[in-house]
Amino acid sequence: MMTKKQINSLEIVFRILAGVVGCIFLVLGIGFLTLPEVFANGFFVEPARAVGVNSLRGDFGALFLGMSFFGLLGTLTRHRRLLFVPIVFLVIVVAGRITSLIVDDVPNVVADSIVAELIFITILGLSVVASSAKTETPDHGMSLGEYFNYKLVAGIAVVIILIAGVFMARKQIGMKMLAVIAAEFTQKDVIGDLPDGLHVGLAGAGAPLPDAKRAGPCTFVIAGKNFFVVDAGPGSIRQLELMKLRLGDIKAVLLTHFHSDHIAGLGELMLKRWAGEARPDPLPIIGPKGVDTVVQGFNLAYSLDAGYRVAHHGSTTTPPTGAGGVAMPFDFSAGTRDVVVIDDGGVKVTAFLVDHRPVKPAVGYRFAYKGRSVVISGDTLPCESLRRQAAGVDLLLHEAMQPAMVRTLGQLIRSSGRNNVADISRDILNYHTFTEEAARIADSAGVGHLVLNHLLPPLPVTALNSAFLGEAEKYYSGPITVGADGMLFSMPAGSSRIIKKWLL
Amino acid sequence: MKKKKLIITILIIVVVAGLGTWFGMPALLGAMGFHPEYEGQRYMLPEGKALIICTSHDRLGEGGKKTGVFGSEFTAPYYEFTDGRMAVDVASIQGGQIPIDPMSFKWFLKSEYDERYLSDPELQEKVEHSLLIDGIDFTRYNIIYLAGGWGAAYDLGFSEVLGRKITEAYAAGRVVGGVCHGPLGLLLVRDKNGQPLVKGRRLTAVTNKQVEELGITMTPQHPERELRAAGAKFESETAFRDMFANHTVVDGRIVTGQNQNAGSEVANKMMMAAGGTRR
Repeated sequence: MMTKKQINSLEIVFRILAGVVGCIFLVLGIGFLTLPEVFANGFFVEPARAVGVNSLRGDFGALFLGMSFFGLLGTLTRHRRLLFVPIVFLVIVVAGRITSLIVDDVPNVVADSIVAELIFITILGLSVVASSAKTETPDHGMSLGEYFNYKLVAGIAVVIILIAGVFMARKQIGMKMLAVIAAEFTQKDVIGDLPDGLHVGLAGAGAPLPDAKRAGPCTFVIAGKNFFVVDAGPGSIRQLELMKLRLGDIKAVLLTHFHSDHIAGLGELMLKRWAGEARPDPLPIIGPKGVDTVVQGFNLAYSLDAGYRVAHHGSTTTPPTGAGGVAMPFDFSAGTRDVVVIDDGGVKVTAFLVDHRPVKPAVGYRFAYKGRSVVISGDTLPCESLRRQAAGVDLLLHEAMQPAMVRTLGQLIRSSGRNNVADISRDILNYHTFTEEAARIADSAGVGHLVLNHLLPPLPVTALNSAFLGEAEKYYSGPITVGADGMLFSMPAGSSRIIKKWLL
Repeated sequence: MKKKKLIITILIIVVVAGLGTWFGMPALLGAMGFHPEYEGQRYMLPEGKALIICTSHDRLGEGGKKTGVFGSEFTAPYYEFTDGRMAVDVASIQGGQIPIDPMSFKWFLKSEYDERYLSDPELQEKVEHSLLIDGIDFTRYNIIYLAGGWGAAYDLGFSEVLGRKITEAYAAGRVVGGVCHGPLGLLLVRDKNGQPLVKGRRLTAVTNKQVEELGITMTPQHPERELRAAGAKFESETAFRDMFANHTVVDGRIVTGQNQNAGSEVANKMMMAAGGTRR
């Protein structure tokens, strides 16, 4: 048995630690109340519009301030049992996180949060235990008067003053934060930080229908230090920038076909690459027959803009020769279904015909670098030439549509009287690959990892993912990832590993 | 008190037995081989067209029980063709409403394809207002599929129109076939030499054994009997009850399935025979 003295000192230690926990929650609570977006970023929470910010201030603020209130009250008064309030909250939080770990496709960083929460629970719990060991007699009933004493009033006053202070200093805080955020964007060298190998990122995993998590089709491939972009869907160029990639470094853009949802971002991409690094050469745009028409049109549409830029920034900053893009069409020789379009510095890119009729030509691409490889399907039905190209690749990025979901959506649209949209949703069933079919292709081609993109219908919440996969997991035993913007798949040279990261 | 306990016990037993039957019965039938899930290679024929032909006969004998086409024998191929990106039309011997065997959609018998049909207004509409075969040019279709069911024993094998139309389609290089009583529709079909198409050809259909086991022998035609009599090389599988057997035969452009279990497999093999690609 410990002596009374030991118990007393132990009790004080835990009391202080519990107080520290209470203070951490206080800081987080005040933080969410005053600077919700900053703290949300730290918690990887993306506020959905203004209402989201409101919830961050309200709900997140209340959670932490509530835990802090009872934590500090329990520490400062002799009613240590009040610490059970934050303990219960924390236990529920941990349970929620573990559920998410099982159910959702989350990166391992949440493990750190769970460890921190378990430590908090332990500290608070031990503090209660130590205090009950110290006082032989249990707590008798609480009287309101005991709580609402001058200490509490003073404490609340301090908190209010702190909150008011942050609000009053918000201009200064804003300027400081700009520097912090800008530094992250300007100094980060995403490509330089990657190991030598083949890396595939999703900047647009969506399809024509709007999806909050997915811009229009756009995939980037980094082979060694060579930066390629495949397709430029609407909204995807901003995703590339938010992923902190330097668009001035782009070597070439490759187009799979000329549907609007695959080319809408081209003008923005040409401009950002040109102005990003004072490029004296226009952006090479590689594609099958027809790419010249597309590039010609974009160049024409952006010619006035290019003129303004040169007039405003001068020809050193924006060299006139670098404006726009240059079409680099390729063709298939008679009887062949594939052609090598890049073979340079260890990077080999093969284009192959896929089946997206009536869209002709439509192609997919196979990238190979130092023994690692990826096939990007483009838009297609299940297709034999793709199966051949995908044989044994590390990563297969295949378009996918869940027909049952699209049909249900179509019926709902039809019952709302929008027959034209319903007809379109029925027609698309005929020229995309079903999720289960993509899985069977991955299985018969023996690929290492199947990533699904060009998702139809949109999957704005992860709860839809397993319905989207349907029976896919029955047909392919390897890992299947439902693509979302921000994902990066790293395949280091000289290894067989595929490491999944998030750049958003 | 004792009475209360007894009531609760009985209630629990009823609930457990009910749930056991509800889930167990379809699972048991499935395990025995009824409506097996098709796990083979699937095919597609984008921009292709398929024609499904059903019976128009709705009674077993004079004033007998209601019958017609067996549900899964048209739903399974319809959805396999549709998922194979084909456009599918539904026709019948007399056109209009197609009678469906009331047993088809019993809770312990219905397949996943039947479920899909029951919530699909588009196919329901096609069944309600099926096309009359007389006005259809069969050569416009890549695939002619004949659904079975007891009703088919009364009209498919007797329709001169059907025989002539399939003769034209086969001569034009189309794929023909069907399951269960459906292959009866091939009896009046001729090859390019004017000989009966089925003569000397390998095919399957519902067996005499299954007809006898189910005790429905009053129909005018029994597929195994008629096809053998017409000179076909008849093949089949057997099980302790033939309704649990499954067999499919591909002989060139003639694709047949033994019974209701073969709908999805026959549809996929027809697409394969019609030059379809893997999906």
